[in-house]
Amino acid sequence: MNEIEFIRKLSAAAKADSPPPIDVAASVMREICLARPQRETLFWLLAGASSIAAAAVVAVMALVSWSGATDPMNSIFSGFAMVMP
Amino acid sequence: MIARNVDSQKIQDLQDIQACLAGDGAAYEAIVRRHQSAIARRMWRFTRDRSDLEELVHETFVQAYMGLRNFRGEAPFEHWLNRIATRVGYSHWKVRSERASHPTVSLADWDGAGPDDTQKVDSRDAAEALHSLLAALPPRDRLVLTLLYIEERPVSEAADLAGWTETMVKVQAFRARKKLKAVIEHREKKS
Repeated sequence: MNEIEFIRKLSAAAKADSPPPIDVAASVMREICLARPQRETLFWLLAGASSIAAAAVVAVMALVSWSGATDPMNSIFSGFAMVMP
Repeated sequence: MIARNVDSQKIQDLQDIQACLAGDGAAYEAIVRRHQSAIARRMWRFTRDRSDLEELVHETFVQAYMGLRNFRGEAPFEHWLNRIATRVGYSHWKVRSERASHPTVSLADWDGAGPDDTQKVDSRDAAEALHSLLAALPPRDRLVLTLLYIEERPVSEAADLAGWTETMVKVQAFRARKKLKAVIEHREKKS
């Protein structure tokens, strides 16, 4: 008998073998209900983090432009720039 | 009559999926209840352990829920679910490299048995023997032999379920048959 006939024969004999009755509906629903708020939390966390990052970038840019405007060296050089031409 | 039942189940599945995507959790529970015994029968090929079986069926439905938006409704929901179940079962085999246990029915007995003798042997023993025999093979070989020769699926369907190309299924089946032959011969010598 070749190997395929062999496993087919075993499989035919095992046809009546059935799994024990199980019910996973409750556990699936529990996990899904847990996963849903987690996804929402993750979304809000990401949204919050990106807003904070954007605010930080704006603040740094404002600080840089402000410090550029009030830097005494900058005014000296800007004076030169006016004289040079 | 059967065809009408199948059609009504398809319609019911589609309605429940739409309701579920609209946020109705009870609809998904109905889907799980409708398909869980079929998925359990499928997963019983991947494990012989009750707690593993529950875990695999559970995982299949959780993954299906997570990917429900990708279900386009072109094929029946059952086919889509079967594809997920096959991949969950295959991953289980890959993660848990089960040690092959000795079958309760010796392989030599099976080799000499005629077609009618198969009725006499307990189907559970036969299933155990088949499972332990395939457990001696790598997961890829087990999967291809299960799909092609135990479930008697055509190459195209096996490829679809496994997520492989048809050529890969054919090549894998050729290799798997050689390995299976070697395992059977080895066990026959031992027994």
